Amino acid sequence: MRQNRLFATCSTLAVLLLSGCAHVPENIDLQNDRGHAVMGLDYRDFDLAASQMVQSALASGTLKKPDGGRYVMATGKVVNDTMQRIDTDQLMAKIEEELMNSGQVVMTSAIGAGDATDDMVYEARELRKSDEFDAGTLAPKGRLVAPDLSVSGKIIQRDVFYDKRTRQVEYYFQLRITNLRTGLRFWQKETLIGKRGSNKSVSW
Amino acid sequence: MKDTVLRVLLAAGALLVSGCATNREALRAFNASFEQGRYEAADDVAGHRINKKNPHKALLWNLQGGTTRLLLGDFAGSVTLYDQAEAAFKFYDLDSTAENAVQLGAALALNDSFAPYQGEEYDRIMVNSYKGLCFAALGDYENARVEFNRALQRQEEAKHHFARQIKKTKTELAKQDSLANRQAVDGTGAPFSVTDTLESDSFKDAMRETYSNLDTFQAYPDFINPFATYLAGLFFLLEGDTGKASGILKESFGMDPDHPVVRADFADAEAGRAPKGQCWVIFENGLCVERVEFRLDIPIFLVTRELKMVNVAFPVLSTRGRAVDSLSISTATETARTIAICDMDRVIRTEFKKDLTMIIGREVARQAAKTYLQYMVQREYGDLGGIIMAVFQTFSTAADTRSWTALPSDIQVARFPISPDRRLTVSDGGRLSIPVQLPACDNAIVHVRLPQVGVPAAVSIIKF
Repeated sequence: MRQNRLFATCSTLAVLLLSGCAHVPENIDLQNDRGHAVMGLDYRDFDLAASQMVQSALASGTLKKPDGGRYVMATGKVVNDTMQRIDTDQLMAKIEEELMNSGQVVMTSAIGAGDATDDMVYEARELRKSDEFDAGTLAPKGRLVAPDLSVSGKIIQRDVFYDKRTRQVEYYFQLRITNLRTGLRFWQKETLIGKRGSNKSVSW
Repeated sequence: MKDTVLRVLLAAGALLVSGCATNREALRAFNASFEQGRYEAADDVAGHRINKKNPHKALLWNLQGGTTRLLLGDFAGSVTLYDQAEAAFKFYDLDSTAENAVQLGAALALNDSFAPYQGEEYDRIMVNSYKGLCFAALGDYENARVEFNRALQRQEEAKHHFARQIKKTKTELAKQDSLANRQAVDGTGAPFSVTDTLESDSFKDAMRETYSNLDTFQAYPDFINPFATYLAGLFFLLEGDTGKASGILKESFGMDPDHPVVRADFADAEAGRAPKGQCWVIFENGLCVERVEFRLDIPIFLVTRELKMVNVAFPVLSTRGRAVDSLSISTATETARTIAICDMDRVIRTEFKKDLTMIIGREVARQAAKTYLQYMVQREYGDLGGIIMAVFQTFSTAADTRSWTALPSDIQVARFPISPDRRLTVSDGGRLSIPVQLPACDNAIVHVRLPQVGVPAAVSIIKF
């Protein structure tokens, strides 16, 4: 009897121990993520920077076309001047999405930096050489729309030795919108995301 | 019982000898191939020692392997190995697990080579500089920029690390003294004084003689690695980021205002002028200083009564030197010569000198403890015990001679306009003559590595 009880207790403990050790994947609650921050950049930082910048651009009113239409915008270069290996397209995708959702801007895939272009725009035009395609369904010549505006930027990182044990990492998200016809800068914004953490190792 | 203790001591001694010997043998084999320009064979040696699952366990081989991959033109493979090296640096920065503590404990009791190789500050800086070069060679300029930013940050980290290290060394030595005294009082340990030993005239004389070459060289200020600074500046200049390049090249110019290439690059950056149609040759020349073991008898002060002479093993830096004085470059229209931008031996010596007090302090403490233990064992187990302990002490005494030996002795640079036929010849004025055909590009860097005169050079071209 006593042996059985001992066995049962040991088994329960073993199960508890094993379940405690197993690292079961779980979904992140994106609206209320209580996971600890990282010294690098994660999705929360991109979300915050993108939404702050888009709100600023929309609130400035400079994207409202006087005749009521929509501006055509090209994605320019966003320089990653940090010490983190990040994909700046990720930041731009969020910004482009929110700008388009505002109804004031339409993005072009015909011209742009990085992954902003869609090769199919030009490959579809190559089909003109082929007899296999119905000529009436091919993209007509001279129909691509040149962009009015370009959005470009830079992400800069500065590491500061805050005190003996603490490192302060500052990320500056800089974005600007340029009128491509005049070269004049329509709008610009800098969003700062700062972090403090252990000084034991580098921030990447 | 007595037999068991003696057997354990003998077994520990045997294990000790075999463990150390394997590591030293591998490093010797790697060096032998690398020095002869047999990069593939050297890469094989490194490849067999790399621990893919736990890179921190073979950090040194990730460094060596990263270099051989780079020289073999496998830039992506080099980045992978250097990335693992960075992961290992991070591991040692943050880790305080039992595994690490056990190894450090063994190092404290036996010798420094039992501690895991955790990398020097210059290792960390060079890893990021080389990764920057590799990414640029792969045409991935975004990630190259990240790596050059990291290399610059590593320089800042090094300054802070050494400021902390100086304080830490003083605290550590004091700690060892107080521990020794406490053990002396309760009779469990060796009564000796590390500080008294280090401060004694006879010890200082012995050290002065051993490390005389460290007093004659001039240390780089603030532990700067001029190559890392210059290369980052050059990269930003070639990327057209003249503002950023100007700030960085200003530092290089400040350190070496007479260097014609630095002066020309800095002038371009200052004028906001991105170069066009220019070629740079970056020449990694010869083999850096290596650590070799040096044994000598030093006096150790036992606090209680006596002064005892014991045999200790310290690492000393041995010069392997440059392959050639410089390289000359000729094109259809120009001739140029490489000029040193960074004395890598000096970078290594600067850091070694800073670490030396701690290395010596540890060895003195260790040998004093072992001497005391030998005395105790002899008293307890008689002459046989004494002899076995003496053998154990002899075999366990070894200097840590591990270091990234694939680094060059110095790094030189030349700049010249690309000729219309896009050809150039790199030569050392002797038998070495390498024709290079540049591809279509705005600017180019030609990276040349020559470990010794008369051995094959490794050449790669980086387009901008």
